[in-house]
Parts: sequence; structure tokens; C-alpha cells
Amino acid sequence: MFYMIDKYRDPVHGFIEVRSLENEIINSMPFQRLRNIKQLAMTYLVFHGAEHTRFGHSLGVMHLVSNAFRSAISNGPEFLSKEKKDWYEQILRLIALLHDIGHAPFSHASESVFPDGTEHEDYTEKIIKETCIADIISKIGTEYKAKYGKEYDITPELICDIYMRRIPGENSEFVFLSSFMDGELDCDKMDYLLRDSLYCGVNYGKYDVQRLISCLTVYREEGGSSRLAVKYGGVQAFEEFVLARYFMFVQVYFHRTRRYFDIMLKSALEKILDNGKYPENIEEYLSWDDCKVIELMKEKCDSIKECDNIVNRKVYAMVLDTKTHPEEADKREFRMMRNILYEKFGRNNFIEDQSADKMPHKIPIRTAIDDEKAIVIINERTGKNTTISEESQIISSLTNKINIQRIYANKEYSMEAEDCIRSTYKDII
Amino acid sequence: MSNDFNKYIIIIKAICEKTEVGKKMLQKLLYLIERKGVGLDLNYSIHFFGPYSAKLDKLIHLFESEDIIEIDTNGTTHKINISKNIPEEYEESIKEYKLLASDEEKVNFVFQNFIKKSAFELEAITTLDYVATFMLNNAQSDSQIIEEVKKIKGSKFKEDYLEKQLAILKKCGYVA
Repeated sequence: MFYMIDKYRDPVHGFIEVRSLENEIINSMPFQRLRNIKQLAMTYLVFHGAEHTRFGHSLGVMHLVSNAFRSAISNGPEFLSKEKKDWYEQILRLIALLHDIGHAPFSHASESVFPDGTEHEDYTEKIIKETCIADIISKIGTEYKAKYGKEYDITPELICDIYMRRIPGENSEFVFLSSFMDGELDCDKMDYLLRDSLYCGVNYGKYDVQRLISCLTVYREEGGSSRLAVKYGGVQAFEEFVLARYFMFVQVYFHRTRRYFDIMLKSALEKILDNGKYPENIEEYLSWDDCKVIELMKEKCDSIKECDNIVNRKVYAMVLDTKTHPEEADKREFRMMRNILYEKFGRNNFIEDQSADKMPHKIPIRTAIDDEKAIVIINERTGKNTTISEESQIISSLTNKINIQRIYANKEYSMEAEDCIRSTYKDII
Repeated sequence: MSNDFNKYIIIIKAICEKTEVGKKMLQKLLYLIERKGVGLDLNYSIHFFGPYSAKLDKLIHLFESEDIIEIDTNGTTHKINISKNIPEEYEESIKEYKLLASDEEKVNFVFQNFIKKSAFELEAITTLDYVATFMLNNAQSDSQIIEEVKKIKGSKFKEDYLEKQLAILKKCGYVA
């Protein structure tokens, strides 16, 4: 039971070991679909290497979550039985493996065309509960029950409830588990920074993952609940990780041309999909992947401008933007220039993007120790517990808002628009 | 700005005017307001310090980035204040927006009964309510509710303390 029977050769982590029933999940249709969901949406039109998919990322997160859990538990105070450690690790591995199973084609870039009130996590939950994956999870649960007793069952419902934080478990232990997957320092971010960096051919996302994982520990609160924490010696590794997030956001996730194609994709999908939305029915939804969207866009190039812009890579030039951290005066200046452009060339010849602060790859925010998602930094020598934004001067200065605003101009007018901006700056500012 | 956003801001503004509030306390007060029946669509789940809405957390940072609120990071718990220089476009929209009379009544009810409570008290109260309402579906006895909260919180809250807070919830009509 639980033999590692397969190994996947991963470009980021080397060999990733997979248990037999996990491999059944990987070989199922809903999981194989992830081979055709690009991790970084349209980014490959800018960084041509960014062809990697949610498939490899999901395996990578599962690999990291095992290492992170084992490290935190072995470094922290003893509070889990041998049975619970094994059970929790399996639960975490399944959550990690399946956390992106509900992603739409081109990942986050097309989430705006989900049916109203639906998020990719809702599709994830349905896929886990309503497809063949549910049966495989139940088989894993049966093995655990046989090994440790009926309280060690694993069901699709349990996996979803822990992932969605609907049930806390004894002494909030399930909440503790979910912080490995959703927090300031989670295995999802740990994997995608390294993976995206490698495939984009940039160095910004690299950090010392081994050091960071080796510094994970557990902070036991008064009352008995446990939180994921970092030993004081890991502050620099944590800083490096946060800096990696910052640079990847500014240089890759919010790259001007990538954002332009995201905006195009959203408009194209609104015109391609029935009622401008993905289907709610899971079977139908699972038939959608990047290949299907690209094929449809190719077919519609003549009739839908946005499809033509994507397929034939017709890019609006960015003619105006703010600083990464604009002050009020910078925003006023941006608005003034924008209004001049709109008045002179017509609003319809421009696209505006002000979504930096709404992107899923959020930059670090300031956290107090009683913030739910804060990672506690434990200084064993002084007994003082803090957070990374309190501990690190570099990080606390980084937590100012990223609020890049941009204007793109129709190719026909972009040169004139740039001239207009230059002359306005020269004359007025 | 959408009316939904205006609703959040109006309520957060009213809270900030009445008390010193951090993120944790704001989470709990909005939970109690939503549970009274004001449609906020915040999708609470249970977390380390009781009911928590990831959506509200994101909104707080969105409002901060739009200069609608300020977060004072001096001190152990970060304090939330309404910005002194809200951008004109938002200020107009907020000024024009009015809560429904029935919603205003519910918000005031929460203020009267809970605004003076500490974050610690609110953590106990909202966790009791979450457990009774969403985990036990209102179908259990007081002792079962308290037992369940003790399982989650360990020894953080004493039994008689939880009993007292549960009585407040009952008096305020949250738990039957």
C-alpha cells in the first residue's frame, strides 16, 4: 500500500514520485485535460518559452507540499500522531494535485467569462465530486481506513471542505493544512515562481526553495491551534521568495503585451462562447481547453477582430503608463494625458488597463501577526514572534501599492499618439 | 463605482467612525451584519481566528489601493481608517449612496450590541455562531455547540466564557 510506483521527470524539481492511486488520478481525463491549459495564458506570445501547462505545475505543487509538510512538522513541536501525519500528508497531496483541476482555458485570463458568481474553485469542486476522480479518492480513503481506522477516511467531500476552508477539524488542524496551499508562503506560489521563471527564460522568479522549505516550522498558539511558521534563520530565504513574487509580477505577469492579449482574449471569448459564458455543465466544461479556443479563434479571424489580433499577433502599442507605484500626482498626470489622447484621437482607438491591483498574482501585502494569512516568523532566541513585513525592511518597503495603469493605442494612431504625449510633456509639464 | 462597493464602504466608514478597528475586528463585525440579513455576499469560511472572508480581505486592500481607506501599520494590530483624501470620483458616489432603511436598521442593531466588544470577544461570538449555524445547522444543543467550538479553539476560550457569549448570541436572535 502507498508504494511510489511512478516517477515523473520534472524540469523544475527533478524526479517527482507519485503513489499508485494518485497516478490513476493523473491518468484520468479531467487531469489529462490540464496538459492543454497553459499556466500563463497568452504569455507565450511574449516569452515564447512559456508553453508550460497546469499539468506540470500540479505535479510540482504536490511534490513541494509533501516536502514542506514533512519539514514543518519535523522542525516544530510534536503535536501530531504518526497516523495523523501520514493521513494529513495524503490529504495535502490530493489537494495540491487537484487544486487547479477546474481551471478554464488559458487559466486566469479567461475567468471573467465564467457564469455569474462562479469561480474556478467551484468547477474544481464539481470535478472532484462528480467525475471519476471522486471514485479514486474514495479508494484512497478505503486504504487509509483499513490501515488506521474509520476516522482516517478520505472522501471527495473532505478534500473540498478542507481546500475551501469550510471545516476546521480538531484544533483548527484542517485550517493549518490549508495554509500550505493558500497563504503568504504556500506551495502553489513556491512552484509557479520557479516554473514560470524557468519556462519564460527569466531569472526573476528564482529563490532558494530548499532553504525556504528547510526553515518551515509550526507555531503553536495559546489554546492549541497551529499555524505555519518560518524559523528566524529563514527570513532571508523568505525575503528572496517575496522579492521573486514582486519581480515576476512586474516583469512577467503584468507585462504590457501579455496584459494586452489577456484583454483581447476576454473580448474574443465573450463573442465566441454561447451567451458569452463557459457552460455550467461539467462534462461540457471539461471539453474546453486551450486547443479548442485557439481553433475557434482561427475560424473566426475574419469576423471577430479580437480573434484576428490574437491569432495573427496584431498588437496595440502601449503609449502611456504610470510608474509601478504611482503617487496621486502621477495618477493625475496619467488621467490628464489620457483625456488629451481620447479627445484628439477618439476613445475607441484606445484600450485602458487598470487591473494591476486585481490580478491573481498578488504582490506582498503588509500583515500583522493576527492576520489570518500571515506566516509567523519565530525567533527562538528572543521568543518574539513577528511577520515578514514587520521583520524585513526590504519587504515592508515593497508593500506599497502596485498600481500600474496603461493605455494602448490602435496601431494606426500609435505613432501619432506617442508624438502627442511627447509634445504635451514638452509644452506643459 | 458599483453599488455593492458603495455598500461595503458605507458600512466600513460607519464602523471606523464608531470604534478603532483592525482587519480581524472588521471581519467579525461584517460577519454579524451579514448574518443579520444584510446582503454582502462575503462567503465566510472558518479560519484561525474564526469566520473569515477572503473576499473582504481582498476588498480591504483594493480600497486601500484606491485611497479610500488607510491602514496604519504602527502597532501590533494594523488599524483601518477612512482616508482623509478620498478621490473625488469615489467621494461623490459614496455621498450619493444610501443604505436601504431595513439594512440600516440591521447595521445599527449590530453596532448597538457588538461594536464595543473586543476582537477577542468577537472571535468567540462569531465562531460560536458559525459552528451553530453552518457546521451544526442549528440542530444541536448549547453544550454540543460549545464542545465543537472547544474542539476547534482548544483551550483559548473557557467553557463558562463561551456559555456567556452564546447567551448574548441567543438574546440578539442569532442562534435559536
